[in-house]
Amino acid sequence: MPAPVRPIPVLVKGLILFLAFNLVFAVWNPSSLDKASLYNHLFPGRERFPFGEDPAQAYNLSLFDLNAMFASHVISAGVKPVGEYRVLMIGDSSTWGILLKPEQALAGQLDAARMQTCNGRTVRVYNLGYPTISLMKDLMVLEAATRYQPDLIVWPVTLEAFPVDRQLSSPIVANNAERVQTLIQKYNLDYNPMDPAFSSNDFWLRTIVGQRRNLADLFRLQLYGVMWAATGIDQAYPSDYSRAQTDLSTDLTFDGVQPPVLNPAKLAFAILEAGLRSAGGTPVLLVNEPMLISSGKNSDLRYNFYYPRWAYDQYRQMMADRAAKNAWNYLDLWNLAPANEFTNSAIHLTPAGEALLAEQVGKSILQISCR
Amino acid sequence: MLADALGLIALNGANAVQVRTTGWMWVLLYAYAFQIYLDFSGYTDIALGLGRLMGFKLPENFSAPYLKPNLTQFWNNWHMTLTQWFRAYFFNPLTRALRSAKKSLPVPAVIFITQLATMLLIGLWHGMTANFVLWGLWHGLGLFAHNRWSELTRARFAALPAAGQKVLNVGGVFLTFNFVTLGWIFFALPTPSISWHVFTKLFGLA
Repeated sequence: MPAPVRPIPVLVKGLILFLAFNLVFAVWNPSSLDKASLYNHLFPGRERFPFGEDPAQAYNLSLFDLNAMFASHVISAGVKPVGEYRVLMIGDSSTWGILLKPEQALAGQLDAARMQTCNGRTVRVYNLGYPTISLMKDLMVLEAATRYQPDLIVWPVTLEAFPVDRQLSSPIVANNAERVQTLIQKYNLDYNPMDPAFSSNDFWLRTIVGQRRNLADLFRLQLYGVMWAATGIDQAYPSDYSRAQTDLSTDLTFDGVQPPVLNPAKLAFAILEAGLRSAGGTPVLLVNEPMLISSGKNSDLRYNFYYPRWAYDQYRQMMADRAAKNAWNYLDLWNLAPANEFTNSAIHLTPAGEALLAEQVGKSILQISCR
Repeated sequence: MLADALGLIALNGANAVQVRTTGWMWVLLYAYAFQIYLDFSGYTDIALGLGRLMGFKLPENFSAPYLKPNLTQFWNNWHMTLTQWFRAYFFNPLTRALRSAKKSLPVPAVIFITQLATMLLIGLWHGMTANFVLWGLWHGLGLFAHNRWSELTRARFAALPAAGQKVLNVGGVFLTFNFVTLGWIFFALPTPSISWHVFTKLFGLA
């Protein structure tokens, strides 16, 4: 007859094991855990970073672990092939491709074109956009992406990414404190490495209990690999959505700044320049993203939901001046697409709008590749 | 926990029409088979455990059903409380009534009617939809086919050596599990047309 179970010793042993596992995990701090991935092994790599606000429909989720994000991306699949001209495209939601399938987004369309450089290399374009508008986030991705041997980096930007005081507030930046603190120090950026916007990374948060959300996300990301492989879907595509606003308010402020002067000190050009330095010898093509130019109510005051005309015009001039002064590869495509080629936001294009953009960016890629 | 994880990739009405290849369709279907088992037997175990804590000994509801070598045994070990109820209050009375009728039917016909009727009722017990009817039919026909097959082969298989019995058993488990799993298509999906689409995809016809 089996001995009766004595609950107190069982509970004590369980508690000791629980504490021991947590402490070992926190001390060990297994940094390589997030680099292990079933993507590019069991499942094909994702064509864009994991991001999803509705995982059940999108088969995708948002997480803040940049290593896990890269590990799930097709960019991490093996070594760069000989004969590949590798273009990495960073940027915001317009690069990532909100409401677009991966092949309809800018990177997807350029990649599908299989352009040939003048020395016979095939242009492959990788979508490393992430749907947060922040130059600091772009810099963080760019810095991590340089290890993938890019031949060119395409960096679409828009004024909304520039306000100095918004750079640390996006969740992916705030939750990558160590990376961003390193960038702040490395490029001598005018931000406080101890800014309260950064998530704390104390010992207890490194235990299994403290990391439970990150570990669960990592696990779910692997599981959604099944759905990615099975369906090729990484985003929920609603049958209907609210179109970008064309009747606009009379508000003339931008980021709390009143007209008539947009102070360049309030814009994060330092981060943009840090990004250009971060690329090292790899050329960077900066693209001022197309945006919706409204002809609706108050369109004489504002271009769209984001921008009063005075602020955007000054931003464009600043970008043009800096590009000329510093010999940047710069394409200003702000008015490239007609208003009907925007979807749910003033910077989200339709597939046809992306095709217009791809044509222009493609030409520049070929020009740069042949220098 | 496992069931919830499998729920992320299990076959459902939305993903059934999105899957692009035969192989991945099988993966989603197997995920559903294990999700429903782990989910249902998991919370039954919680109920049993809570009952024990309060001094009640409730009946077991699952006993390794996916490891049974035939469909009859599967139904003797899957959702046992439900099947025992239907056996006691529908299947047995109906069998007795048919056998004691003035103009008695042949035994196979009695088995066919009782098994089909019982499984149809069990299907409808889960919901009043065409797919639950199809699920009931699938199992009713499966049980009848197994009954007839077993009648035909019992003597021959009983004479097999131990190794042969073992192979037969493993083969039976494989076939039964896959038959039950294919039946889950009707259970998991909302309409016969989506179910048919999944069947065609699974067998490379779509």
